[in-house]
Amino acid sequence: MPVPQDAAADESDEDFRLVALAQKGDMRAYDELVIRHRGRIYAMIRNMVKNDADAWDLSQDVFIKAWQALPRFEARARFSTWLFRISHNVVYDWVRKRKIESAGELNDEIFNREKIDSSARTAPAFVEAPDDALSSSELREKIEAALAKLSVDHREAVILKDVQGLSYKEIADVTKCSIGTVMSRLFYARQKLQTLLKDEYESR
Amino acid sequence: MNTNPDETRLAQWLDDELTGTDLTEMDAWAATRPEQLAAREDLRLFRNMMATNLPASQEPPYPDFFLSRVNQGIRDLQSAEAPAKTAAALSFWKSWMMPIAACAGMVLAFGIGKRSSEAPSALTVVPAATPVVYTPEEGVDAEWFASAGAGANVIVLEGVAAIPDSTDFSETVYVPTISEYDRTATREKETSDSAQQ
Repeated sequence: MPVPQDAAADESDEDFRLVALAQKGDMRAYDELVIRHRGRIYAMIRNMVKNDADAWDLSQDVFIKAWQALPRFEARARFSTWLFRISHNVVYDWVRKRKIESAGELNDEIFNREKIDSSARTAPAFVEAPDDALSSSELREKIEAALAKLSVDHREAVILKDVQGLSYKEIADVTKCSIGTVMSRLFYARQKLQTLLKDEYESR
Repeated sequence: MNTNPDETRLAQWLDDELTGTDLTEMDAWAATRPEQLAAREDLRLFRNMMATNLPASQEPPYPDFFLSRVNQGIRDLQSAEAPAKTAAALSFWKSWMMPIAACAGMVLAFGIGKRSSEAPSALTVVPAATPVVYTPEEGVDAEWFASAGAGANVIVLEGVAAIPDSTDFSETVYVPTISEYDRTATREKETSDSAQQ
């Protein structure tokens, strides 16, 4: 759940104190900052890349890059917002790299079961894996699956807004685009998610 | 609030971002617009569903190892940056200081050359310094460690009396004979001797 405003202000003050120490080379203060923020960064990246191992590596990259850029950090934005901006760059670089590396490879999305004609005589039999069968009823997995169907831009907008609780302005800062673009991305992302999750959404 | 709010303000109100006067004004405007109130409620439900099912914070697996990996990454970064800084300093030396030093060296050499030409032609005989080889006293244990990998030789002496500050170490230099520092010199001599025979 997004952090309440008063608590967020206290957290920001403590962050700025630790940042000031870390900027002077205090590694313990930086360790403290990593410990305080790694949960949110890991959760955000994991929701973006859908892979625990990649999210683990990319989250570390974020904190290493943040250390490198720390002398340039000014207390104009929250430290967490600044970290989200670095995360945005790291994730987009990763997505770009993956697109280049996978160019020409077999796209297994074409074997999506939903795209197979149900009346086809040669449709493969589908048996759910035991683990999947156990957890398929969980709403979280359905939401994650629906999120995976969004474009990276739309997915990021909805994660930053509805999961991380950032404001429109903060999202615009993180993604380096206008508030109008953020609003547009959020509108379409939510609309698509509501359609994909229609059953769950209406039963509530 | 008589006029309709702009798009951004409406979106902020729908997303519960407004506070204070802005919120009061928007609430007053929306009070007579049930479709806007319903849209806000709908959005609240959606946000709640997302926030309760997807964690905003989740500790990465092996958090201690995660932290040590970050620390290692920073150390690697710092060690990679150090040679780059040295290279930058060297390039400054090469581009600016080296020509200046070369000019200064040429002037100095010219000055020395001029002085030597003015000096009397009679050769001054400098007495050869007699090297003093330092020999440990009795009861001193000496150990020698040679490391080819490190390119270092270390001699450890135990039981040696403190060396006074007045000791001139230049006099303790051991001067090897020609055959000791240049083995080919002896061989060449031997070869030329055998050729004469």
